[in-house]
Amino acid sequence: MKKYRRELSNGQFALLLSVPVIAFLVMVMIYPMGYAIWLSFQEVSFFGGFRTSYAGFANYQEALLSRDFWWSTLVTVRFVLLSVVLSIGIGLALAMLMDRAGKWRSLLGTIIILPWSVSLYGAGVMWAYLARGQTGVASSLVNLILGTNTAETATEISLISGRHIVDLLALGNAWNIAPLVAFFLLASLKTIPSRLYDLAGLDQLTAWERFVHVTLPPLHYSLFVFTSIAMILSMKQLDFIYVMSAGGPGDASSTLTYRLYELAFRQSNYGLSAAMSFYLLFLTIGSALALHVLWGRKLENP
Amino acid sequence: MARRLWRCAGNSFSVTVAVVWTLLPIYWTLKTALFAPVEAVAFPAPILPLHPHLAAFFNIFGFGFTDANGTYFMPAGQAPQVINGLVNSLIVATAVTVITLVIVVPLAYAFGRFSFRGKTALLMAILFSVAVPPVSTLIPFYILFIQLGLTGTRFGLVIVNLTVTVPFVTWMLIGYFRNLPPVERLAQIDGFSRLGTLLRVVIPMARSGIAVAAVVSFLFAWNEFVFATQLVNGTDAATLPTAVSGFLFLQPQPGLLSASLWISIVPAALVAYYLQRHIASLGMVDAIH
Amino acid sequence: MTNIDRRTLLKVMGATSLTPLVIGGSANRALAEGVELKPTSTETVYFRGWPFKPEVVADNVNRYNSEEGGHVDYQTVTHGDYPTLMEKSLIAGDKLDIIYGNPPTAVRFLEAGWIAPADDVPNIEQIKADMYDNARNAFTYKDKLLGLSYFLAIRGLVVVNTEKQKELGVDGAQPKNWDEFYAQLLDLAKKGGKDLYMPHWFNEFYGISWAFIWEVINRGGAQIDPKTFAPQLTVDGAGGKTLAAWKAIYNAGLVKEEVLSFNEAAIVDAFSSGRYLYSTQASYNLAVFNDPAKSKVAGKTRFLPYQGQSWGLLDSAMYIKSARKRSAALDVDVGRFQSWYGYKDQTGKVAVGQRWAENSMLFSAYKTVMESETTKAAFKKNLVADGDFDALLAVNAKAPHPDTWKTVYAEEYNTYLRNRLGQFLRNDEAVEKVIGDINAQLASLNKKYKLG
Repeated sequence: MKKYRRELSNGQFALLLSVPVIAFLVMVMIYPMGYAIWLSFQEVSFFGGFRTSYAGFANYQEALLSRDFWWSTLVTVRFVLLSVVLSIGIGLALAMLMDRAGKWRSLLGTIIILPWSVSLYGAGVMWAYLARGQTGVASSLVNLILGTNTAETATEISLISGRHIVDLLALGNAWNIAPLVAFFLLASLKTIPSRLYDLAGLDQLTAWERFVHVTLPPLHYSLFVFTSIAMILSMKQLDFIYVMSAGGPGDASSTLTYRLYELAFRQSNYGLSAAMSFYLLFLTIGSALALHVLWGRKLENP
Repeated sequence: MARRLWRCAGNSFSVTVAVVWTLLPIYWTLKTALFAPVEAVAFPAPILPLHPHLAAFFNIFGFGFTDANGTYFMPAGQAPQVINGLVNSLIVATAVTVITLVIVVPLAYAFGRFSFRGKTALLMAILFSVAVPPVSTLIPFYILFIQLGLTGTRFGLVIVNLTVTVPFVTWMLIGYFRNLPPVERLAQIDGFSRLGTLLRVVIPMARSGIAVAAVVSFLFAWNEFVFATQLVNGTDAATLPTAVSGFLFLQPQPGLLSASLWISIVPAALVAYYLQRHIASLGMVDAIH
Repeated sequence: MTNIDRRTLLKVMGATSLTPLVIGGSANRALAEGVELKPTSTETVYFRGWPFKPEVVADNVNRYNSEEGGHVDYQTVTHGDYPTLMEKSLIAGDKLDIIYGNPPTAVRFLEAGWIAPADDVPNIEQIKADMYDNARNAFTYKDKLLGLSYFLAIRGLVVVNTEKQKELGVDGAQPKNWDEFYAQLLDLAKKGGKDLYMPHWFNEFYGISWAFIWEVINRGGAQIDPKTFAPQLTVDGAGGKTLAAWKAIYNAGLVKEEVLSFNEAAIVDAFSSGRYLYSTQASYNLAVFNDPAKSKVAGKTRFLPYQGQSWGLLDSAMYIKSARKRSAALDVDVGRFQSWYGYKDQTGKVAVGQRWAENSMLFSAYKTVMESETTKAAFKKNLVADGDFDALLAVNAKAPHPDTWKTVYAEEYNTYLRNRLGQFLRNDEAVEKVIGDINAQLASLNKKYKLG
């Protein structure tokens, strides 16, 4: 086939579309980012008026020396890892379920997207009610079975404990994110020609082999994309955690974003908060880059 | 035959699990709206509202309600904010969705179908713009918006939402566009320009992905809480999530909180239902013919 | 419950004047009417409040606007984190004139230069004279009055479920102080009692932190020296005893770990369910607990009276004026509105304060409000026994204002405590270590802010 000569090459076409958008994003972000960078090098004080004084790298140093910072980083990493694994796993399962749903798909789809239609504040409220002892589903179910339905006789079962609160939060976070993953994967699943499944049937592949060799490959890139997205969303997560567990019990679920919020808005330590936020940013970007290098890049150039 | 039954049962089981998993947290809180306040604090929490109590739904919209026992329930003080929030959220979410689609579809198409220099770098730039934790940029964003006169306006809120939806939805759609069959060559032969290819061939083919993108954008904007709280809280442009968050303050009103969550879910669910009927109504994508 | 005679009560509250104020008398009216409260310009006064009974506030503001020709723009900031949002607006120089604020927040805002004291509002002399001493003390910092009275309350009132008391056989003499209280709890636990105590240990900066602070002060101790700001906590003193008691009941299983992840609404709901014998709450929640439409302990909620040891602390909020640049006329208008809203309106009635007292059980700093018959009647509707009103006033009179609240680092200290105390309980740490750490933190805060 003869290639036509184009006015614009592919690359130029793409750039034409993307540069305005990126320029807009950069413009909107540059002032806040610049201000945050500047703040991270200041020491903010209130005594005798709101004042800032240059403090060099003191904030960055203080963050690294702070036990709370490292604890929060640990909590964040655990929360993010679990959230991502659960979001992708559950999302994939839901996508495949919807793929086969036939005539029920509209109804099923509407139900499945509901967690994403609840704000994270609402999700925090919901999971708090669900997990706490007094209001929770565990207490209600157990007492229903045992028949003890008065306050005096009932057993209280709380799903909230210091050791597992992060796991519970990750589950709730995944509950919220998974529908997003599911729907995009579903849309991608729908582009798999059914001919391929017929061919797999001819070759008598098992369900698992069918999954790995027919279903998964076209989803590979989407899975990579959504892993990155789930990771970034989880790193930034504040409202859900704030409402569900208030960073607790104690500081068991005080992620970095929670710590940042506390530092800036409870302790008015804007400088330290800004410095820590850059550590979080490095962590986020570093993880996204790592993911790209290890996974995404291979998909770009098959 | 047995295999089919087995598969049918397996399917039903999976569907049941999926539905329970999805609905349980929602139901558990929403049922509180149907309990009288004194029942909402009962232990253990009752599972079904056997005597539904409707006052909360009236109160939340600013109406008083007298129940069967003659007890009068006052309208909620936050009712004006809830109603206002509902309207504002609808406007903002719709605007964000439309603008996002217009921007993102061509963009994701370009990134998904073409390779060119600098692509990876641009992609990363797009993604990084959403990597910044909002906490650290709240105050400077606010100051910037004050200087631009955008605080307390729906326009400002739409802009802020776009800075989140555009990058995310672009990323999400790229993978989708990659998977579409290669029709560009054929379109070229038929004499389509590049833009024409996009508009007349690719977009109709990509209905599912675009529908999903619309749902996602809408819901992102509908639920956006952090920036809304900062930028429009306490103004006429306040959206629903911020209005909902006032019900746990000082004296808890779980019934009203729950009713307001109902309000925030129902429109979103309707949009989702409508749009996702467009998702994959076609079984096989074969635009060659 | 002990009965205290009214006159003694008035003396205790610091009403030093020999001639009792004539409530609603003509002398008062003349004074109030002589003060002009109408605005002088048509510029807008921006008033932003937190989401407590916003319909009442809106109604009050509308009355000012219609009766006095005001131009006040009131909006509810519908989010629980009000101080943060106000701080952000103040930093950015947003349109904000009147806000709410607790004393520690106000101290920080004043030091930052974001708010102006209320010493120049119309009627200020009468306002100061009408305030109870402990209230005026709470609202004053470095001899400046930070704002006008919105409400006062006792936070840390030990509420009691009288029905459970009878069941457990402890409805006789009430514990007189924290030592007796914890001893009773541990004793009941040993005998197999469950659901005995829901403490104020929720995970907010005004939750578990304040619980520690008031217990230390109730027991006669202090966090810091009022003049030198030097840390004062000791292992054998109030601080150590408080931590030891907390450790004892936590390790005995009286308090579940999940409480350390709660918000305030959760502990209010907990006591309303009727499960608990005791709980430490805010005094205005008595209106919720004794309301049959909202709680299962309606008609059964009383509280531990003052028997030599104070309970809890004096929680309060004020109407505060921001320090943003305004025209001279607008400045006058803001002051006048602040006075109208925060004290007497044009008819000489402390209308706003009276309304809060009557319909929300919020204490006022003003004798005019607290000593009126309508206030007493309204409070009594939410109280169970006859002597409860006077007992409540007695606890209120003795409720201390925390020492750390007169420093600019009060919030930082609260946040530090929230983290530290949670760790102490969950990791079963030694009392000595925690006291040492808290003292060290106070010392470093002093150093950071150059105090003492």
